[in-house]
Amino acid sequence: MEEKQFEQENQKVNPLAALALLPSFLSKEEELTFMNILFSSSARVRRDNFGLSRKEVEKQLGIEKNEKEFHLFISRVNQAISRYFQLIYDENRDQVVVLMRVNARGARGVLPKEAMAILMYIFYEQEVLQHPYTLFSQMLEAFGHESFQANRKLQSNIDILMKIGALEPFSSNSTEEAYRLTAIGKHMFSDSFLRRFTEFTQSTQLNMEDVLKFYKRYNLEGRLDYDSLET
Amino acid sequence: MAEMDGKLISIFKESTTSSELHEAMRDIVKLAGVLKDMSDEDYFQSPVKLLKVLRVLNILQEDALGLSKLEMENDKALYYRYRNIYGEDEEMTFDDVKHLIYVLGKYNWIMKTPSGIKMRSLGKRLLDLLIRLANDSLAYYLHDDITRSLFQAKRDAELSEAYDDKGISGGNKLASMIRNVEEAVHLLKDRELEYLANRHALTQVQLINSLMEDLEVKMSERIRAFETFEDSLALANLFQQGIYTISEGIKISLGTINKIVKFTNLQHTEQSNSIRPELIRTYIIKTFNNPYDEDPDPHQILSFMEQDQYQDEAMDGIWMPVKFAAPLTAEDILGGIDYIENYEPAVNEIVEMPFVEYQEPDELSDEEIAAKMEETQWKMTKENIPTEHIERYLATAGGQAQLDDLLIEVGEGKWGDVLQSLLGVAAMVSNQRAEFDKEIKRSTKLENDKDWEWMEDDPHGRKAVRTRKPKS
Repeated sequence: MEEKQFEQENQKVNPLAALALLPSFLSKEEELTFMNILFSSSARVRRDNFGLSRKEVEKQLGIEKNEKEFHLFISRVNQAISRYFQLIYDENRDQVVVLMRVNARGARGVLPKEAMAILMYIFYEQEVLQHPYTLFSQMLEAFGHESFQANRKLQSNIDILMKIGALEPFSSNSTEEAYRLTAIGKHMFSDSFLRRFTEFTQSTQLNMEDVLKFYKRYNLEGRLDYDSLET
Repeated sequence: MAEMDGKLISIFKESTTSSELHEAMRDIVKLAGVLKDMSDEDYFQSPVKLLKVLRVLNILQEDALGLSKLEMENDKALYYRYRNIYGEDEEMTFDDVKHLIYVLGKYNWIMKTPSGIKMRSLGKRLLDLLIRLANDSLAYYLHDDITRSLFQAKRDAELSEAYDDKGISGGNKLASMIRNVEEAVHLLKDRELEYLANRHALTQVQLINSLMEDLEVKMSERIRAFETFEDSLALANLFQQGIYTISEGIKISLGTINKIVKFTNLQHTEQSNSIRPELIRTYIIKTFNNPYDEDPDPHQILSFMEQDQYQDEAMDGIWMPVKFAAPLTAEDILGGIDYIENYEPAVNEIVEMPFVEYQEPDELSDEEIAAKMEETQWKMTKENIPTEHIERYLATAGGQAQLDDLLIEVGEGKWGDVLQSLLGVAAMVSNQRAEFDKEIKRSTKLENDKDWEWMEDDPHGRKAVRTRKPKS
C-alpha cells in the first residue's frame, strides 16, 4: 500500500507516466523483455497463446532456470507499474502475461454481466472452495433455471471468457465438460470489486484485509507482498 | 353530436365534400399564413422574437376578452400598451407592430374598424392554440429525457380524457401514451447504471417511480374507458403491451431505488469480519437472472464503485489482458515507404514459366548391387567378429601367411585368442576376403611357447591364408 501511495503522488499528472519510470527500476534487458510481454499479451496477436513462455522470458533476460531471478523480475516490474499493469506468471500454462487495470466505468463494457457472474461463480468455487474444476452441468443447474435457452446463453458467455484467456477447458478422463480458472482469471477481479461484491452478499461492511484473506489473495506471486510490508 | 352517431368527431372520418371540413382546413391555412411570416431565419436565430409576437397577440386577446379597461383604438395604442408592460424594445418597434397588425388583418385574425382593433373569434381560437402549444413545449423541455417521455405519456392520458371522452378525437392518444411509456422504460433501462453511479440520483429515481405509478393508474383507467369502445378489439394487443411495459417500468425503477437504498444502508453497517461463503453462491445465482430486486448484479456493483466511496475504487474495476497494437520499427516504416514509392504495378498478365529440372536416375548393375549387398553384409559380420588384427597381420606378412604361424603370432600363444582368431579367419574366408592355399614356406621359426597343440597329423594347420580382393 505504501508503494501505491508513492506511485500516486508521482503520477497525478499522467497515469501512463508510470511506464516512463520503468527504466529506473529495470535494466535494459528487463525493460525490453517487459515490452515484449506487453506486446505479446495481446489476445489478437496470437489467438490462444497469450504472453511469453517462461523459457522465452528467461532467454531474453539472459538468465537460465533461475527461480530467484525470474520472480525478482516479475516483482520488480510489478512494483514499478502496479497501479496500471500487473505482470503475472501462469505456471500451468507457462505464460507470462500483462494485465491492465480497467476503471469501474470502463469495466462495465468489457464483459457482459452474465459472463462476470459466471466468472465469479467459478472463481468462488476454485479459489475459495479450492475445487480443481467446475462442471458445465453444475453451472447450468445454478444459472439455467429461469431463462430460456439457458444452455446457449451459458455457452456463449463461457466462450467469451475463454477468448480472453480467463478459463480453460479442464481435460479429465470423464466425458463431462469442465472448466478451470487460469492465472488470468484468478487475477481479473480487482480487490475493490471483490470487497464491494462480498459486502453486498453479506449485507454488511467488510475490511479489505478480511476479504482478501477470504479469497486467498495473500502472497500471490508477483503481487505486493502484504506480509512483508506489515513487518 | 357525439350522441347522434356514437362516433368520435374526427377529420379523418368526414366526407371530403363537407363544408365544415373545408372551413376547418381553412382555419389551419389562416394559422399557417400568420406563422409563415414568423418562419424566416431571424426568428430561428433569436427565438425570443417570436415570444414578443406572442406577447402582442396576448395583449390583443386580453383586450378582446374585456380584461383591459381602455379600448384599443389603433396600432399606435397597441404599441404603447406593449411598451408600458414590457418596456422599450428594439425588436418590437412601432413598425413591427404595424406590420404585425397588417398580417393579422390579412388572415382574418383581427378586424380593424375606425373605432378600434377587435380580435375575431378565429384569432382567439388560433391564439389559444399557439399559447397551449408553446406552454406544452415548455413543460416538455423542463423535464429530463426519461421524465420527459413519462410527462408526455401522462399528457397523452390527460388529452385523451379531455378530448376523446367529450366526443372529439384527440388522435391516437392511447397508442401514443403506451409508446411514450415504452420509450421511458427503455431509457430507464439504459440509464440505470448511470443512476447507480451517481451519489445524488435517489430523488430523481424516486420522481420517475412516482410518475410511473401515477401513470399506471391513469393508463388502466383509460384502457378501461376504451374497452367498451367498438375499436377496442384491434387495440387489445396494444393494451396488453402497455400494461406489461408500465409494470416493468415500475419494477425497474423500484428495483433501482431499492439498490440505492441498500447501498446507502450498507455504508452505515458495522464492519464485520466474518464472511459466510454460502451467501456468496446464492447471491451470484440470484443476481444472474433477476434485474428487479434489491441486489445489484456485477455491472451495477461496478456502477456503485464509480461513486468512489472507498479510496481509489473507481479506478479499480477489473484487470484485463492488454491488447496493444504491434509496434512499428523504423525498418518497417522505411520498407513501407520504399514500397509505396517504388511500387511498379504489373502491366501485362503474368505468364507462368514452368521450369522443370531433369535428373539422371542413379543406375546400378546387378553385380554392383550384389557387391554393395556383400559389402554391407561383411560390415555387419565385422561388427560381431573382430578381424582387424588378422588383416593387419596379413598386410605386414605380405598378403599371405601360414595358418598356424598366423594363429600363434596373433594370439601370442594363448588358447582363447587363437580360438577367436580362428573364428576371424573363418569369417574372412566365408566372406571371400581371404582364401586357403597350399602350404608355403615358413617365413619364421615356430616358437613353441604356446598352451595348445594341433591334433596329431592334422593337415589344416599347414594351410596358408592369403588375402583376397572380393570380386566386384
